[in-house]
Amino acid sequence: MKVVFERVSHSYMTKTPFEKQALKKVSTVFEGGKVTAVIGQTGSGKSTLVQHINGLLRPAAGKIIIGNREITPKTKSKTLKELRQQVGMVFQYPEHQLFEETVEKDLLFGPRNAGFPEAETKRKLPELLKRVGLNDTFLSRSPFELSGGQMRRVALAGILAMDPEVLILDEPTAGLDPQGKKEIVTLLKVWQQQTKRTMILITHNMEEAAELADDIRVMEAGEIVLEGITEDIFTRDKELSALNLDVPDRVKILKFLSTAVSVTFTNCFLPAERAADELEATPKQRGLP
Amino acid sequence: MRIVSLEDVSFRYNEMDQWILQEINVAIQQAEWVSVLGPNGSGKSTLARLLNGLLLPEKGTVWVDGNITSSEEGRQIIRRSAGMVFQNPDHQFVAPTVRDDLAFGMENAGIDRETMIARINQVAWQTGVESFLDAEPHRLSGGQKQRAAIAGALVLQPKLLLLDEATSMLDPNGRKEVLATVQGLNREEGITIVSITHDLREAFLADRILYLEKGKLIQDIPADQLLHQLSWLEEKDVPLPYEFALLEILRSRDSKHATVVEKYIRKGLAL
Amino acid sequence: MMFKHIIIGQYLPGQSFLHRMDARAKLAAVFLLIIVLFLVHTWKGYGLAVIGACGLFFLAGVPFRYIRKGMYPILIFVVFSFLLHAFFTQEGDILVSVGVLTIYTGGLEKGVFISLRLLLLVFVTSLLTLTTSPVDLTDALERILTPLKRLGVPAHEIALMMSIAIRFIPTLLQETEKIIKAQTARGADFGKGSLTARAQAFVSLLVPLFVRAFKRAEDLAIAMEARGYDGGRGRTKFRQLTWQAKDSAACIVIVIFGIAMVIFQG
Repeated sequence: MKVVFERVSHSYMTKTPFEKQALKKVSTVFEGGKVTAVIGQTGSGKSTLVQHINGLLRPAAGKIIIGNREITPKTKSKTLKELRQQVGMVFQYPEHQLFEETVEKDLLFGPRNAGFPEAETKRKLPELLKRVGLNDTFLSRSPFELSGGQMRRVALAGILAMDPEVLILDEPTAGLDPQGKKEIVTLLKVWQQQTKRTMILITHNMEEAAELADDIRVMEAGEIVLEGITEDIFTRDKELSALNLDVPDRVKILKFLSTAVSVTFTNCFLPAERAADELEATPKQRGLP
Repeated sequence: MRIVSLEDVSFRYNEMDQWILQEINVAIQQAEWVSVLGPNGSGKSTLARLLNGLLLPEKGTVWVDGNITSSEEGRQIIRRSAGMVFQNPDHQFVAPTVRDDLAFGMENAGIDRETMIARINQVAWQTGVESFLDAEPHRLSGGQKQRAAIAGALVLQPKLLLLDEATSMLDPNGRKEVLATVQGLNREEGITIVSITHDLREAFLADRILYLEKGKLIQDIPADQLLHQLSWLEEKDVPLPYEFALLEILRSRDSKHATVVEKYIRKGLAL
Repeated sequence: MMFKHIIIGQYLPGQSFLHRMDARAKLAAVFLLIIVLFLVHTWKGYGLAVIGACGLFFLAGVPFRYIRKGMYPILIFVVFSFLLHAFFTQEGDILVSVGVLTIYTGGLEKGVFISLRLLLLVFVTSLLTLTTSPVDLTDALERILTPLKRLGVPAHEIALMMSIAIRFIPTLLQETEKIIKAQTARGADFGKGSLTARAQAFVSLLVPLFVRAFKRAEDLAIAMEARGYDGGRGRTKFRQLTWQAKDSAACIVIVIFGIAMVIFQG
């Protein structure tokens, strides 16, 4: 499902001295079936942007088109319920939203609100847990006795349980250990590749953006200042650092090495093995038959 | 000079439970920077809490700056010589403004007002919090809050700073801010740093690395030396960031470029 | 941002006479004024009270709209108690009588008095909170309660609790907003929907809020202990309150005014 923003503006604290324009006539397209990462500094408007997609925030001007649905400043909130099932949103530290006595009940919360038939949803839960790397023995456990990483997975499963057409994730791996981060990224990747759903990822972690995303949108002060496919955006390291943003590890070190030992790499996205090969080959040898 | 020593330290919450830490022996020198790595649940945070007497060992002894944590008076002194910064920036800020928060530890220590004012000014300058001394916590960024937390520990003039995943909830810029502050304190003021972290890049800013697994200290090694044994970390299932993987490959091929990558890691250029 | 209308600590920084007064003096003065308000029971007395309130208003130098904002929430309460007294007090002469409802002059008078009392109470306490920072206020409270320590009043703990509560209100609001959004995204219905749906929505908000609050309290306790906190013993204070001659004078003036009013109200 495609998500289109047409000149969308949004302000916080309107009509007070603290009024802040968080989005300034943003127009962009999140392609259906693709993964788009939205990057930018804290406060650049990333979260505000994505909260328009499921109607948690209403635009002050402009419109958002999600599939065949439109959200405009006049959209009534009761028409949004169905939309919220289609657009799943995983907030930062989603484990903070767990509240039921058992994992099973918590997983059923979203589907029940969406009006899914209960028996059928229940039948699918073991498979759902497997998707997030847990087994069905977790169903009867209290979410509050799980480890941080397990709680994160349960919370994620609670959103996937609604079978969203568009999945929005805000810093899905924040605060996890490196193993935990890697596992979450992998399971998101697998889910997306199997279901071909639209995924929008807000992240500060450029490694994750590079790993998951097809496209990148860069935000700064309520505007999209750069957009394009991942590999293009991440090689524009000067523009990114002017925006006080990082580039992925590999781009960073390969750029560093290319000046430090004067090598020219074919590109800055080489796997470590190939980067080592090119580093070993002296500039003279390369390019000769 | 030795500032911390743990001798045969074992800890568990009560006798029915499993050991959280078992027979730990570590000595840390003044002005040293030690990172503690290990998976979640390996006992890292418990170790930090033993180091300033927030927890007491069931067996063995913990010495900090010549005082033992098992004595009440010892702990009082240790609370001042070992400052601690925790993970969640919002859960350690007690007072309504940064200035009042910096005063909190000194108030507890019964320090007079003149000294408090002088120290707040000095520490604010060291940690770069002077521009927001009168701000309320909810108006600050994560990095600013953590720097205020560091400042709140520094006012007691500690010799040792314990960082319990102090950067894990920060965005990249916040993390850089905090690490730059910590580096300055370690290099210029000679403050000993014990930092618990999951981030290999951060860990390799240290002089020495400890690795905990299931409550046991299974590695205690200078950081430079561990850089020559990265496969050991891989065996422990620690994902190697790109530049570490590259270094590993270059090393295996005896490449002369390995040293450049090593310097890149050790200088924290990857951060 | 559904919480944008809530102002945390109404304090308006300023340099007026009331702003510069010692918080203890202000707290004592408000306390005295509240007693006086409960002793007043004539038109003359209330007239004097209103004049006095106007005087305080000019000394505070705060725009009236801020006080008005503080009064809105209790307006319904004022109207309710006015009607209650107006309809159910059977004193004085009959003013009007419609069906079962009869309004007496005494009732009307009582209604007006009670409403005025409520409004004046809110007025003076608003002046206090508008001209005194929450920190100074908790400090003043601690100092005033300190002599009661011997009677077992935990003055330091009360003040610390209040100041931590004040400090965490914004955090709590941010968290509430975040959890409401997260549950709304899972289809929870906080506004409309059936009663059970709404009840469930509130459970999905309250449980996480409590869980987080306990976690936060636990973390905070450990962080405080790590910074050497072990109760109020031997603690010094960073913030200082300075009691000046004008603070004593203000308290004396209020006492005299109060006594005079109670005596001469007729």
